[in-house]
Amino acid sequence: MTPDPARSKLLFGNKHRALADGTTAIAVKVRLRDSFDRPVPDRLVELAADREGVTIEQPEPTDANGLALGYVRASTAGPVNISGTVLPLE
Amino acid sequence: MSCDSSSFGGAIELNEAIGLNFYAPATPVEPPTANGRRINLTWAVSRYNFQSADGIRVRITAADANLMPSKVFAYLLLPMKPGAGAREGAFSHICSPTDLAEYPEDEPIPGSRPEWFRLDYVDVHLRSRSEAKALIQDIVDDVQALKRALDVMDNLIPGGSVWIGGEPEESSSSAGV
Repeated sequence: MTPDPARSKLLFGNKHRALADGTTAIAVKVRLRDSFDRPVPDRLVELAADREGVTIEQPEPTDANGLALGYVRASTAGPVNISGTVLPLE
Repeated sequence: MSCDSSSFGGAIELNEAIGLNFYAPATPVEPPTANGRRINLTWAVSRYNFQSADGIRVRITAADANLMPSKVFAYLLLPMKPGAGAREGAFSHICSPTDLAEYPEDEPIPGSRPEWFRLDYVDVHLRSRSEAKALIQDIVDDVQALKRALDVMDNLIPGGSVWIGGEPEESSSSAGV
């Protein structure tokens, strides 16, 4: 099953803003779907930030529902964009 | 992102990124006692019985004040009975910074109207414990507000300097020497 970028998304897991103390995390939910909108399990998604001062706890492989959770923390204030890349199968 | 790479099991970049926002921790507030201004409030509560009426007597005393007067309780001299000549001080409120500057200590200025003055204690009779607790809390809150107001007034207007008519040139000042 191949994830379809058009149907797969990154979603806010809990909130979209948090304290920049290096400890408070924002959960980012990964949802992988194929071109038929079926969940894509067992795929690793790597999250990346577009600036420094951000720590990302990478998600586990997607579950049977095609879902996985990652966590983002920041030690410096400001906006950050999180992008996702589905890693190739080994 | 490439559809071809996804077809062959390569890395697939998701179409949309999400935007998060991290905000800075609040600036730590300067400790309120940093300037050393303080005052100690002590209260004593006792029961009293006057002509078969039970009540609560509350006496609150202000002492050990630093950078502020301890006489912060504003009193107004009022007649004990309408039309009577005898008058006594009735507690009114906790002084504001302006009251501290205007009202004299211990007794009113002779001839002034109304006859305000300041004392360092308040002694009242109340009907119940709840009234007593409310009075004590109100007075503590108001004295805290007074202390905060005095703190703010310390830094209300920063120092400054301005020349009216233009700053003198160095040549003119040296010429005068």
